[in-house]
Amino acid sequence: MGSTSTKIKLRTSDQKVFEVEKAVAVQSQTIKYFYENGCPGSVIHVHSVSGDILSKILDYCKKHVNSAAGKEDISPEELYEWDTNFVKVDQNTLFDLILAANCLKIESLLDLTCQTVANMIKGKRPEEIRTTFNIKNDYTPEAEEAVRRENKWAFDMLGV
Amino acid sequence: MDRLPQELVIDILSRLPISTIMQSKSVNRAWRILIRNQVFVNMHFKRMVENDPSFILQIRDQPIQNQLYFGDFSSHPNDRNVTIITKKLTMLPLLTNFILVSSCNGLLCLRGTHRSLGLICIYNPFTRDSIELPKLIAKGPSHQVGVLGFGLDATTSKYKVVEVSYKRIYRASPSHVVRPVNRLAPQIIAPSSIDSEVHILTVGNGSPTRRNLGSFPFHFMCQKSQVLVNGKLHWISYPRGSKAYLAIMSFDLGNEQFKEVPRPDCISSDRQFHELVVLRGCLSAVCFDYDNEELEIWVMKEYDVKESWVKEFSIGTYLPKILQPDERESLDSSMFYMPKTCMRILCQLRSGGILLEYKIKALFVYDPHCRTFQNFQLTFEGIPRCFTLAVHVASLNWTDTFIEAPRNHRKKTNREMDCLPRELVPEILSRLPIPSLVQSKSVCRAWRIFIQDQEFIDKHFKRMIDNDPSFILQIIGNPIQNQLYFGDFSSHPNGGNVMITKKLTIPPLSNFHLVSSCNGLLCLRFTHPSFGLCIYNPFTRDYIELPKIITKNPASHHGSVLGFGLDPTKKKYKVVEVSYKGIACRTLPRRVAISSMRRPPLTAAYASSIESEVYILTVGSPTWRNLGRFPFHFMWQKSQVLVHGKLHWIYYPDTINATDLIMSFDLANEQFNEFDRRFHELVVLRGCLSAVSSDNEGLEIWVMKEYDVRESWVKEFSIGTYVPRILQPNDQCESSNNSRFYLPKRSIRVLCQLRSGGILLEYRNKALVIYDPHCRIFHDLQVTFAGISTYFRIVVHVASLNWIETT
Repeated sequence: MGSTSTKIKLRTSDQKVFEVEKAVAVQSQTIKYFYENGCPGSVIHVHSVSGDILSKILDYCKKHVNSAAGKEDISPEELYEWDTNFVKVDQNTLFDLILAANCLKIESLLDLTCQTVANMIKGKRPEEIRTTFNIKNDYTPEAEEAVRRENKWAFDMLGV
Repeated sequence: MDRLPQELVIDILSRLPISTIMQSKSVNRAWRILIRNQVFVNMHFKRMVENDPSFILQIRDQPIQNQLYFGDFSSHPNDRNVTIITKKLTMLPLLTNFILVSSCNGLLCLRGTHRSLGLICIYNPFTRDSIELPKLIAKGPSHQVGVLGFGLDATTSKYKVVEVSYKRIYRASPSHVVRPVNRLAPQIIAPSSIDSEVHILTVGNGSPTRRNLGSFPFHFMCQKSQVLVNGKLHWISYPRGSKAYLAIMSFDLGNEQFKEVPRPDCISSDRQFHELVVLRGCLSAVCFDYDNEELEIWVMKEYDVKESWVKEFSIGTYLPKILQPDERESLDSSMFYMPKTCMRILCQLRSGGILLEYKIKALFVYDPHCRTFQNFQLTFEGIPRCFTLAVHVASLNWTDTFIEAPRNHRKKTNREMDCLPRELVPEILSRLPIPSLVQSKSVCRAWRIFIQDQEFIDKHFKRMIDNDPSFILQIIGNPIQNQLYFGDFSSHPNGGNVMITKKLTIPPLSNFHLVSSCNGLLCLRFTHPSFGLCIYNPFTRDYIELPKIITKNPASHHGSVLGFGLDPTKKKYKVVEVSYKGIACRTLPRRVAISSMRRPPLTAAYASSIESEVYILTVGSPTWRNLGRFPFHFMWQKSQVLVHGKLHWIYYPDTINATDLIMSFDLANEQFNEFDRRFHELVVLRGCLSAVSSDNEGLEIWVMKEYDVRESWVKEFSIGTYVPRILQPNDQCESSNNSRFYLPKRSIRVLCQLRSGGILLEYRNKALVIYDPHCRIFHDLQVTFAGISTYFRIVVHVASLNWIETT
């Protein structure tokens, strides 16, 4: 039991310091690696993550650790619901979460956030996808027409 | 090679010179796709920049100049006496006669002459992409056009061509003094009889454009090669009317401003300032020192810092062997004739040597350490000729697939998709169902390239297996069966019980039958007249026709495909077919095919006159192999049951004792094996071999939790009787009792288990139903074909962009 109450200190890009339970922090493979290979008790720098994002991510880790350890009575459906609400954020935050989950190596969060973006792409027309994600259309009109023709049935499907 | 992860394959291939790359494209499909990948193109380009450059050459002593050659050092890495073998490049038919202007990022800028006068083209000879730039409308016969340079504007990722046009003004009037002076900081502008205008042509996404930047009061010294440093083009120029002041002028391709760059000290009266060149990324100036008869190369170590100009090299006179005169001529005179403008510095090689060109005829390397010269023999189809040469970093790059602009530029403007590291984009895209995925190809080029990548295809496929499957449907009852439909649940994620089907593009087959689906590939059988087989992926439209079985008596031969699947050990697709003779098949019950086995079975009380044999074809090989006779009766399987690399069927050991057992066929070792359960239909549920048995009460589904472990068979589901709404009789016609008895058993098929836990059932080729095993309720699913409900054959299909490796 002693090990679970061990705290790990994390410092974010905006110099905020978080004191986190070890079990929660090591959900991140990156933090786990630094914890196991660094000096005990030292502060781990999370350069690429801001305080706001890290606090959200820690909420996520806490929820999942607690539900896995049975500390919190939560059904898989409720956890799914909680996850769904967790990623109901503005697009910038969502992308920050993806980047953070990627660099902190939190597999389940990366999966959740990537799926969220995939869901946003689903059912959208290419023009809508471009506007939603600020993607530059780098096709010439002719090239785009050619690609569209190639995939014509997919456009029929959406009634375009 | 297969064992290496893709990034390592990219890494390896990116080290190859372009000629090898072009060949590697035909190694296999994966490599071809990989080589087209922008990640690869960029990495390859970066490596090539660090390597010794290659060259584009044009022969000068020919009347028609419409041919370019390619040469590099790659063929002779360690030779002392080096020969450069040039290769003819495929050229554009558009340009009947042209001059090679310059090369940038693997792209060539060509300017038409004679009949093609005024045409400017950008061309990549290795991808054969080309683009024609808009012409300048000539304002009279005295109009002359010169192209000054070509380069990439890193801020907008567009390629730009700077063009100057000269026009002689015969009557110089005072009004010309106040001609619109452009953004250039005006120096001394003497009125002149030549008017010049600078135009800029932009090539990027969208159609190329031409803009006038106004007139320019400087004369440019003809630059033989492109001097592009720091996103700026450079020329030696002097103010119009005075050659006294030579300046280095730069043109920023980003903000389109001219600016003077600090000159080196070498520009003085005792030296002739000769030309500019780029050496290892630094702007360098070449001048000739008359006193010492030496070429001096000055290098600006830090761009735009005057103090950083350093004299790096002095090169003494040298006469290449090819230019040495016959003994009759005096050596002296040619020595004096040689240097100065007939000598050109091309580049510095990795070895530190300086590559020089002499009199457009000879090429040699000067070693600055030992102060020695080494000749290169350069031949065109075996013949030495006069040539112009441009240093060219050969790449598969094209104008709309930019060599990556500095990262910070993009990060500021785009907070969205672009901020994600490259590896995360496929992570997201691989979660899309196939209709969205195919459509996403037209969002932008990068996405299209991601989506065609083999590694991505595999990743997407793995995800799709975990998702609810999609389906391929064929309508039954139409006289001509040559149309397939695609249906999935992705369009209605939250329970809308509608499956919208969509027509698929089909290869031009007259009439076919949908046999089975495996790893995104469909196996189709022609019904008339050939009974041949083909493999087709409707989403990539890849298509392969399989060879036919050669039997002794082709007239009476009838085949029935038992299955199609991937041999996981050899990564080869195989088709198994049973063939039997025509006389017997008429006597057979419709769904049962009788065959015989290569090893006699346990106690074969086999008494049948039917001759049947099992054949197997490895897709890609030209002939079927005969696996011998087979004394079992196979039950016709409506969909294929492929688990653990093994195909499964229900069979009867003999015709009399109708005890049905399960037989498996291992696609790897091609052996049959048997199980001991009795069921009426097999199915795969969440990856486990499952079997369905039925009685009047309904269906039972047994699942073999652990493959080939007899004890792991568990009865997972019992499904009561149900009549889908669409099959319920009208009140007037039939009694519902009647049809209820008529329905179960063989007319119900278990298709798959959904992620929700629901079991998808098909009733009488017409209705789809989801059975919820928790609440024990049925949900009718609506399937329509262009609004019409009809009879159909349905196959579970994990849609993928997968295709068969041909190697």
